[in-house]
Amino acid sequence: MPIKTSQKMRDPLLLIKLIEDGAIWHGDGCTSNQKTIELFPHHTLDSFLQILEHPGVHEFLFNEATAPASNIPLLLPTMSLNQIFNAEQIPLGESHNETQHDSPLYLWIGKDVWPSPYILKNSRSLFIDVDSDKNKSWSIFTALKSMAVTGVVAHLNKAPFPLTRRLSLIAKEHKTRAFLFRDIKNITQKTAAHSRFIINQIPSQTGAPTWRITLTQIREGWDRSAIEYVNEQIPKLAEWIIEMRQDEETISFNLSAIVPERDGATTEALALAS
Amino acid sequence: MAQRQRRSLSLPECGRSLCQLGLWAIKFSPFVGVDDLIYKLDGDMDKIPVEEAIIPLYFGLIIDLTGTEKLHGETHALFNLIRREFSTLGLSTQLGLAPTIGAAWALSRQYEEFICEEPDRIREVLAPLPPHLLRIPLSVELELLELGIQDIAQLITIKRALIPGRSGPLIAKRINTALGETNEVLRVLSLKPPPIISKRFETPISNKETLEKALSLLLDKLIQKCEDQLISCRSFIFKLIPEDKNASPIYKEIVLNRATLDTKSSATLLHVLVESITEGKIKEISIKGSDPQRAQKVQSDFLERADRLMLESSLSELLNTLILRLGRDNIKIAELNESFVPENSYSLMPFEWRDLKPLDNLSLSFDRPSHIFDEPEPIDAISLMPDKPPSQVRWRGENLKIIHGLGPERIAEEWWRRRSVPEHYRIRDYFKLQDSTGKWYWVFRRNTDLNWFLHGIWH
Repeated sequence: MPIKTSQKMRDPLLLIKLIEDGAIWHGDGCTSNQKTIELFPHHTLDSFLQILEHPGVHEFLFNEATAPASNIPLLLPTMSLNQIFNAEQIPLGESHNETQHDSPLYLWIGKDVWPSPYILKNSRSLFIDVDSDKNKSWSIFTALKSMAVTGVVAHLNKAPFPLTRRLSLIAKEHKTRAFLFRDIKNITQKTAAHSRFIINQIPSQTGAPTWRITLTQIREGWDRSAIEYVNEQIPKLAEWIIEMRQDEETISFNLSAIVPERDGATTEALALAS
Repeated sequence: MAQRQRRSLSLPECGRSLCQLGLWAIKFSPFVGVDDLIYKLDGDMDKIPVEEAIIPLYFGLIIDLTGTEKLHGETHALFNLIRREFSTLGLSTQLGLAPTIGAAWALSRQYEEFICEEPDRIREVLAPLPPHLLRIPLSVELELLELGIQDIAQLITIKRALIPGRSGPLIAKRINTALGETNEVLRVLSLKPPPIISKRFETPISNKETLEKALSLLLDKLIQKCEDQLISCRSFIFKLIPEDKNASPIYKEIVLNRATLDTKSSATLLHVLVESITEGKIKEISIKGSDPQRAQKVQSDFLERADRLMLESSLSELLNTLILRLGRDNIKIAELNESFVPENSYSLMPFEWRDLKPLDNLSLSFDRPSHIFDEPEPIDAISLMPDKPPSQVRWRGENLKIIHGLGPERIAEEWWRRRSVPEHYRIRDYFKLQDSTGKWYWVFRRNTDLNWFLHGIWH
């Protein structure tokens, strides 16, 4: 079989290694050795979305080492927001003009969290271009104080407890939400966030983007992930495997699996969230 | 013998002269206006850049003759009167009369004199005219010409939502207003000068608290002045003159989405405004109310409308606060375009009030990544067969272990917009790849030299 190589990659040893690893592959098959995900269909996707609906601060942790700089895992949270807040916003037969003041308003603060606009569905979005951390924090505070805002999305490198506490109080008072992306290495153990999730993208069997979402905290308090992450033993309250589905007109999420929880912690967490 | 002197006027001067002429034309009807573009020529502020090529067409007067029939009699008689009066000023006229501003605008630019009094005939009389007479920029008309659309008749048969390009919504709006399907508001010229207040200080102000207090007092006085005149303003333009003669005046603007400004909102906004001023001492302040409207008192108790007004007011305060501190150019809004070329499928533009509306997902039928790079990044890739996805990719110095691939999807130039895509990117074969960590990448092979690029990520 003729192998086409680019100008800069002609190392035969590399090719042999690739073939041995099963990385060279042709056709629509999949040579993944990943374990099949088991299904535990005893919760619905709504349980994940319900948590995000709550006014306050929600933190999404990601590992910068596995994600190149500026590649913050935005897709799942963004699509989740679409699913939560847009569900029944625009009744059939009504134009955007009639409903534009009711449709959700998001502020994407800092270029590193700007998604491609076509994944934002039926929502109003403002993209705030700020350079300094000072202006970023100021913008988040200002936006959270406005009752016209549904949610604020930002990436914060450092967010000590007093800062999350202030953000949380403002968000609760004005019934708004801050969705903060944070590098897992920079997080503090104590946080005032309402919820804290760890997001990992994982290989899928179906060809659709898939994520493992681990809920490590609900309501205010100590986050156990920071303590035990060093040992790679992340205690979880709940865990979801979520897969994105896209057809010609809509993007939606399917729940592939919920990983079994520790001692009924998920049920307890969801009860708290509601 | 007195000699006449000719001198060329700048665009703002031309705009002001036209407004003066409009005020003179109030003798024909109390409702006389000029095109919105002319108002934007006001030299006080940095306004939207204007295509000079289209300016001459926009220099005209709009006269609302509704209810003046008994005064002037037949339309022909009125036209004769207008011609006579303008000729005394040494001006020749082209006149168009129609039930909508858009239609009258187009007819007056095309014909010496045209009268269309029946709403049912608008479509028919506009049909043979070129599209730019719907008040769309010439650049957009060139795009339409490339599509083979040469007159309004062809344009109005296209379904509004399918009109391509960034200007699609503008064209649809112009068609709707010209045909009378949606209303168009005429901004009427007023003999009353815009409300303005100014104060020169004997001792220049350097303290921010004092400056804030001074601004607050002046703004309160201006709002009171507006209330006395039964008007409220959509925007307030602040001009602060520093003591340093070499420093240029500072302009700040507060734009409201509704012509109201309560004391609490103004206090917040003034605080942000003062914080954004870095110059030392201020010797003079003037505040001008702009875009005045008839004041309207709104009942704000248990009605559902009150909630909406409160939301609008809160949004207005937020936006003005952000704009005052960060600048209008740093607050962007997105617009989705009907294009399958990734870099043309959306654009981010500085904020404008009229554009803050929900996004229509025109591009959802395409499977596109959540993050597209501004510039595609070169990668090294190995593909076993020409039309198969690459099985090995090296990006940013790291080898990606590819476990899954889909494609190709060929994206070629949009032939009707040839200039919109750089030549070397005109034909691309895209593949969707998944690596062993679960990440999905969007890579393409450039057809001209078969080099590979990474263009986006689903993450």
